[in-house]
Order: sequence, then C-alpha cells, then structure tokens
Amino acid sequence: MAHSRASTVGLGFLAVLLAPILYVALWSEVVYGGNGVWSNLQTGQRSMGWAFVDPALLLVGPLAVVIVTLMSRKKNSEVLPRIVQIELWGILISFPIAVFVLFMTVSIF
Amino acid sequence: MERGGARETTMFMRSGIVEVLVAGLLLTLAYFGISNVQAVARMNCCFPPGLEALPGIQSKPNSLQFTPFELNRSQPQLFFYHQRIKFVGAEVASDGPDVISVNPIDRFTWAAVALGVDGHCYATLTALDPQAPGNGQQYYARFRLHSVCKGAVASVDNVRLTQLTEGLG
Repeated sequence: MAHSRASTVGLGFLAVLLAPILYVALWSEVVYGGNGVWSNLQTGQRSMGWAFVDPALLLVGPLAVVIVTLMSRKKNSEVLPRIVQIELWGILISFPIAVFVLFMTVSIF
Repeated sequence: MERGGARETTMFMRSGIVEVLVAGLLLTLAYFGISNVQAVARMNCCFPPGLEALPGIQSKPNSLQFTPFELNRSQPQLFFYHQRIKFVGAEVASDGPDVISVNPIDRFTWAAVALGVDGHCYATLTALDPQAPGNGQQYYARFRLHSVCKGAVASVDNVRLTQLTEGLG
C-alpha cells in the first residue's frame, strides 16, 4: 500500500516535471516550424522542398501526442501512468525536432 | 451492479481527464501556432525582404560598408534574399521594395528604408554598443502612408520597435 502510494507520488512528480518540457518542445516545433513554412515561400528565398518538410516537422510532435493518447486509452486506464506515457513519447519525438528547428533558426541569424 | 456502474463511470471520467489535458495542450499550441503564422503573414505581406536581409550586428563595423556604392557592389542581401537590390543614398527616396535608401549615421549606427508593397515606408536601424560592437540591437519601424521614404528620415528616435512583427500589423 505504502509502495503504491510512493509510486503514485513519484509518477505525479514525473508527470509535473515532464509537462513543461513537452510543452516547450511542442511550442518550439510548432512556432519555429510555422515560421519556416513562411520563410520558404517568401519571394526571393523560395524553397519548395523545405516548404513541404517544415509543415511535416511542425505536425509530427502534436500527431505523436494524439496517436499515443488514442492508443493508450484501452491499454492504460490509470491516469498518471498514461499521462507519463504520453509525455515521454511526445518528448521523445518532439524534443529532437525542436532542437533541430531551433538550431536552424539560430544558424540563419 | 450499481457499484460496477459507478466504477465504470469513474474509469470513464478518469480516462476523460487525460483527453481533456491533451486537448487543452493542443488547443493552446494551435492558438500560438495560428497567431504566430498570422503575425509572420502580416510581416511577409509588406516588410521589404531585402531590408530584413541586410547585414546586422557585427563585431568589426566599417562605416564604408554601408555606403550605397559599396552595398551596390557587394549586394550583401543575396545570401538570404536571392534578388539584386538598388541601394540609393539617404536623400534619395525608395520607390519599391527592391530600392533601399541607406543612411550610415555613424560607425556604430546605420539605417535603411524601403517602400513596401502596401505603400508604407519600412525602416530598419542597427545600433551597436561602441564599447563592444559585437553587442547591439536591431530596430524596425513602419512609417505613415505617403511619408517620404528616404534613409535620412530614419533615426534612433523614430525606428524603435525591437521585433519585426511588433506593431507592424
């Protein structure tokens, strides 16, 4: 019983800790990915290849979160483990992309 | 039986919490994403891209670098904006996005203006810290419709926006 309570507290702590990381990763991905789409369509610096790649980069993280949410619905009925699972998958996919788009943006300026 | 029904309802509500949280997260992201795209679209609408592509903050400034003669020769914007630009002096008005009127105020401060496709005159000003030229700030402005679009009108007093999207909408 004590063990269960401890693991619940641990999962709760992990969920709270991961939430801002996931949010920042998704935010960077969406906002900088969105900027990239426009930049690549601008006159004088048009790049149709990147104009298709950027929306894909923008959508991968949010789509991963949606897919894991739907897939975990039946498998994981407990709230906290499910939230942590969604956050971990979201971070795993969106964080490297966020770092990549941030690096691309910083290297441009 | 009733207890079983109550448990199912609790389970349903519990799983619903996760969906609500995820939906809230994605809606917030969508809001930021859409407002950002709108802001960038406004910026891309009319801010002359050649102005944005001019060289900004640098650690070894050279006042000669920002004369129309040198800029016409070096075409520094070509790195980002693949179109040639005509640079004119501070007293000559810009009559389009690809005609930039430059004003090398001093060694550490220079401004440039160009007429946007919406008829507004847009300006950019780079101000370096004389003690540490590598530190500096880029400023932007959009002047009133039909204002004279000459580099000479751009100064530290009227080119003060720190972000391209701020107040240009």
